[in-house]
Amino acid sequence: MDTAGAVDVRWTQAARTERRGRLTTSVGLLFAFWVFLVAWSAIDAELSQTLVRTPWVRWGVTGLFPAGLATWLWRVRRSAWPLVTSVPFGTALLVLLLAMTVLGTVVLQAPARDYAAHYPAWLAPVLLRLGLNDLFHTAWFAAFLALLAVSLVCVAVKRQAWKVPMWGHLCCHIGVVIVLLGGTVGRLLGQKAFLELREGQSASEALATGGGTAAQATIPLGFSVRLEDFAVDRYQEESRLVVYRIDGSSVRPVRSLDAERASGWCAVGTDGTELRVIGSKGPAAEIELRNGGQVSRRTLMAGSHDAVWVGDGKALVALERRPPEARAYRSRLAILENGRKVREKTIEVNDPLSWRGWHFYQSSYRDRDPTWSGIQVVRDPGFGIVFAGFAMIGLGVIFVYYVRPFILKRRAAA
Amino acid sequence: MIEELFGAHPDVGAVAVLHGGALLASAPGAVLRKRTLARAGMWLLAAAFLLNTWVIAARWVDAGRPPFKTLFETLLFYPWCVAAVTLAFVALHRLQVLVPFAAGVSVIGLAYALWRPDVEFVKLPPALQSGWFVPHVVTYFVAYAALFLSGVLALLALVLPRSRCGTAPLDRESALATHAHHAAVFGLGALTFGLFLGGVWAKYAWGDWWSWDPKENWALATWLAYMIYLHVRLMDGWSGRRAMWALVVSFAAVVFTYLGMSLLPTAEGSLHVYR
Ligand code: HEM
Repeated sequence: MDTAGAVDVRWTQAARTERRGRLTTSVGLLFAFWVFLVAWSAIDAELSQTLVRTPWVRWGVTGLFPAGLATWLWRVRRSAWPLVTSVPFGTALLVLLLAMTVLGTVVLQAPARDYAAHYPAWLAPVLLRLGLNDLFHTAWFAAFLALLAVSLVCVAVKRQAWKVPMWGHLCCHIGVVIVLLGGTVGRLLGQKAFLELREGQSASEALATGGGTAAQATIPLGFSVRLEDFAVDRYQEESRLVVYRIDGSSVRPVRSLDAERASGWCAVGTDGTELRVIGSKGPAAEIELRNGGQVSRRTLMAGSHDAVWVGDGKALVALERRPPEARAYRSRLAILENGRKVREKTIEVNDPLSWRGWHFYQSSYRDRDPTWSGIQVVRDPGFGIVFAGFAMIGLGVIFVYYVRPFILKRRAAA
Repeated sequence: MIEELFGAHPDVGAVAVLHGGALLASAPGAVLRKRTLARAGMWLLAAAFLLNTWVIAARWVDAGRPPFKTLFETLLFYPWCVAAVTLAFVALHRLQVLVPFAAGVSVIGLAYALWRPDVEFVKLPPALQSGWFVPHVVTYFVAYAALFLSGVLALLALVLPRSRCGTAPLDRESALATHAHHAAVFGLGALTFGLFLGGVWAKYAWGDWWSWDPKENWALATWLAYMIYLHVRLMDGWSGRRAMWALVVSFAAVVFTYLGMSLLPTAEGSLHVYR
């Protein structure tokens, strides 16, 4: 690493001047860009409500914004190029994206109707107007991601990133572009839907989900899917003897014994009291408590607020039933084409079925309706692209920091 | 007495005590520059690591599933990763100053784990029963461990008067800053793969590789913070102290992603929050 330092300069000499770019200028410009975009979409939203009958007026007015921006960009193109391909600009862009990402976790991401309950009356409309209730799907967030992609491509061109020592940088940067591209392809060409089936039922179209408030549309699949069989596999139901420790107002569990399997004495309480299970059946268990020479027996019932204070009154023992949680739920699906079964697979969470570009994911079940299965249906032609982009970023980082130093060292030696 | 302190988990208590011993030996060893103490601290950390390996393996067998589901379980696994990465760093770069910090953070984590333990095995829900679960979690926790060390080294580079960080390029000027950078690069590489594995897994489980969930967003923000660090250190005048500050602040993002999710108003429905 250290010896490579000197040679590093050769490959980054060109970058030298751009590194002196101004971080504050970049942050300021990008923030101004954000304000511009937000104002633009807010005005557009306003006009779309007031100018319902004359949409061309709306397009004329809101079209002025991007036209003005484009004109300005064209005029400053000579100074914009070195700026947009500079490290400070990249840093500023990443900082803004980070800020937006964090903002999207601080502000509630929910439909507008939930806002009244969470925010004061003066704040809710402001947040909604800025699109902060669905930040990651706003036009301005998309514009920033587009800007990220554009500047990354510019950087690759400017830095002649195809030369061997720069492969890692190229992979990192273009990898990000490719992830964004894959995401866009998925959003534009992909489809998402939901399928509700009962055992024996089949369907050849699914209910579209996502994509705004449009009336529920159905998407034809081009084949049919039949639910042959549905089953929920559950963990065993359990009875547990739970020991709680009480300190002032805090109550916390400190021990939990399987009432059916526990054997031997177990210390509870702070005064040396011990407990053992004698027998348990269904929602009842019989226990024995001993402290010094004193031994007492008790029967506990689950769910009856029936608990035993132990020893010094700082511990409490209760019997609790644990409902049998779902371990897995599985749908045996058959694909039918022209009435003929062409494929069969049992799907579960983490193991979908794929057919002609459609993927069927086990998504939900109903406790009270054991023949019903909810299946998420997705077509995402962008995922392969996203996967490739992600892999590029990972390999790129390895190249930059673990392979490139060797290459530079070898060149220095040669 | 042991019962009172360690409740249902005397084995975890023993791991905590060994880490405490490593801290008590290595901290004065580092401050007073006593080699034998520092060495003892390192061996105690190694012993704690081995015992923790046993505890985690035993829990894996007993629970019949990977023990990475709950906060309690990750508070056992994080010290394991910190010890592993620290011992590797000590072996590679003779960075024994890291031992008291590694032991210290582990003692804090384990003490919390013992104070609020899991008293029974939480069942694994269907979504977590996947071949992607273990690689995803392990990659992330190794990343978090390396990034912790990089944060510590960056802080040391900032506060120790003798390490000249200045605003000069890191590589030639400050050994601590260089080590901080190496640890950060390893950590952010792992972070990148963790993110990748998470996305692929989510695709197989739910059909979406990204769903803008709060935990996902913070993982993205953390990753962006380290990407910002990479660019910051290429800027003129930013490669020294300021880059080290970037590492310290970025580690704060790691901590928040790991532990801070329940503070967020948006995390109620999140699928990823450790509870
Ligand atoms: C998430 C997005 C990004 C990732 C993952 C990324 C990754 C990287 C990496 C790994 C390096 C190598 C750093 C080093 O040599 O130590 C780098 C350098 C660089 N990045 Fe980025 N970057 C991103 C965004 C950007 C953006 C938006 C710009 C916009 C201008 C940019 C401009 C640069 C430049 C100019 C360099 C220096 C390349 C050179 O030395 O020739 N990066 N980036």
